[in-house]
Amino acid sequence: MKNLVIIVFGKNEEILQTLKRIIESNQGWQAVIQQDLSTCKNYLSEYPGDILLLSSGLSTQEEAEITDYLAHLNHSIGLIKHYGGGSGLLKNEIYSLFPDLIPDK
Amino acid sequence: MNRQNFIKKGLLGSGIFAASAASARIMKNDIDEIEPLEALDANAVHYDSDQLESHSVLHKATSRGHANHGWLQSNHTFSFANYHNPERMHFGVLRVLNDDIVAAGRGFGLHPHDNMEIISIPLEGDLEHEDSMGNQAIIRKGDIQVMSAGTGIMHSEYNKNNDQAVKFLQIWVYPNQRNVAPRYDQITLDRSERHNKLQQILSPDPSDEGVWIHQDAWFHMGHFDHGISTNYNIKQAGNGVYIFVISGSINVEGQELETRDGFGIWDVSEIKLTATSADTEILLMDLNMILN
Repeated sequence: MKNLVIIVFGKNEEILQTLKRIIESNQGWQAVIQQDLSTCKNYLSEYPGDILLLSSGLSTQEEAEITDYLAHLNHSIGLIKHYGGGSGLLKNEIYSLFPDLIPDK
Repeated sequence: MNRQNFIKKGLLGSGIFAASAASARIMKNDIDEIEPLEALDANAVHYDSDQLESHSVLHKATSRGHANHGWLQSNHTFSFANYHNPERMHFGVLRVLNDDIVAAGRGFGLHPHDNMEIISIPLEGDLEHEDSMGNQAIIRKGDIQVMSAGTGIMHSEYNKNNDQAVKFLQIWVYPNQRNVAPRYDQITLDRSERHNKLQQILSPDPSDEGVWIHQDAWFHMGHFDHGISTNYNIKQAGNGVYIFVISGSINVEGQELETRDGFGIWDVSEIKLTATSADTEILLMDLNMILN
């Protein structure tokens, strides 16, 4: 499976840890947890990864600011506004960004 | 993107959350690119068969994704967990329609959710609920359970009984705003109020009949005798309707549906339903076709 670095930005610790566990149960996928806007920006500027996944607990302003910042960086990185908080939709959201990862494709 | 294209994209799998290359090389959700709905054609009350085909989608029961976890048998109308079908991603804001059977004494252990309106409808047996907000409850046939997951909620759902399976529908609807305060509710409805008519079980209005959610959606259930017809008027211009047949069979605007079939229709202001067998039970979901 393709190696993926997924930066998970959110505030709810239990959900962040759940997402990390689910992501890292896939061979080659790594989750980097970020809970602070400025720290997340700094990380993105140095290590953009493959996907920025917006988890829960962020304010509307934080979501907008990190999205704008990502555009400003001009990196080729997928942006996912995650819904559901667990395993139900996560893989489908990632597959929508990277259709080549869909099994048997 | 016009409304028709959005709906087609959704139905064909590249809808709300599909990747697209934006100008800044960021792949992002189409959610930010959706334009306002066009006004509903006032003349579009009913369709002939050709028009129906272009404004509807049929999901036969046998075409659903299936997961067998031993203790859990689940049929997925839309892509879920390890079932991924790009042509089955959502119908408007309806994202998940799981038809679950949980073995006696088994269940879903404590797990989190966020940013989703989650509705559970027991069909047989009893489901035992616990959550991080301190709620402990049992839901049975005739009850409707709703959770606004919002910023995050932990919950478990177990089969209360050790001698029979519990069957229930698990429905996820995208919320119209992210990160709302988590909320739990359940109600018991008088099932006789849905005999040969539609009974509202959910709406966006806390003061209206049934439970409520953060979305422009109205759910109804009906239990019909053979040959009984009823009309349903769409609640909000631009909404679509998704009908799931729990038991029996029904004709919707000329489309024959059997048990566990799903049928979505849009760009119409009224639909006619006629039960074509005895003991026909349906769930009708009137849904926003775009995410606010």
